[in-house]
Amino acid sequence: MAGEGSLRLTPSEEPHQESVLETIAAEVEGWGTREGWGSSLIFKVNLVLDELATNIIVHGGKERRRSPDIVIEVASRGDEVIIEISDDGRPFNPLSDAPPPPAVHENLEDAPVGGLGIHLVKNMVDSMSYRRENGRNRVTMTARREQPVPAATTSHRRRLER
Amino acid sequence: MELTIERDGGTVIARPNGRLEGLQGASKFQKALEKSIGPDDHALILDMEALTYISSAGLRAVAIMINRTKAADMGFVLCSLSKSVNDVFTTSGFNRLVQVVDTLEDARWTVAA
Repeated sequence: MAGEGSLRLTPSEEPHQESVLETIAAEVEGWGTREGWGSSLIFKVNLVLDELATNIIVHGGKERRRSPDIVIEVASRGDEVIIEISDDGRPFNPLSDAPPPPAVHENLEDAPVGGLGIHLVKNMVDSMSYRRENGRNRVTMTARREQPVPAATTSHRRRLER
Repeated sequence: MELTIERDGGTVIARPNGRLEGLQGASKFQKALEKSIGPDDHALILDMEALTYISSAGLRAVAIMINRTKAADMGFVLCSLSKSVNDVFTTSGFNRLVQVVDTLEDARWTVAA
């Protein structure tokens, strides 16, 4: 993918989730500001990468005794941002392998960590696909810039609410 | 992230400022909230006006506080969420687990009721 921006988070013996999140936040802010995404799309892209990278660091390295190598690439195409994150950790398809999100009546404290984050990702992006190739997990997503609501639609909605 | 605590009678008003993220950050936040609550307090208001970011780690901290306040028979209300933070609450279904209101004034009315 020809990237507007790309970021490689090199593997370390002791993964520091906090510093990875800081790096992601700073890079996304930079890309989004340069591309004029607007604050809500910057928030969304940041959240998606935060949740997926956290999941990879916490779960992806278990069998290899180190945190996986993570590569993030982001490109703008019209009103859309294409987000790709790949890692060389153990095979994990977030679309089918994630635990179900905790139900609202469940005790959330005891719910598995991954479920909630991946549930957020799936529901915040416009498309999401997964493939495993050359020993890497590769998740590709698209997120659209939010369009301002046309004036006519707004007034119609207001009328209905009254 | 910084957390400012204000006390108004038995109501604790907590104001996180900045980004609530990371497993450590969320756990620190949750522990600071718990410490701020005294035995005579009857309500906790989380004023999110200055919160610029929240992830699932932050939601879990909120989930723990939902359980703690429930166990202590305390009111718990969130207010002044930005649009993006509010999206995270609605997408996760958390808006059905805890009361979310628009303004701090609404929150004060809610816990006083």
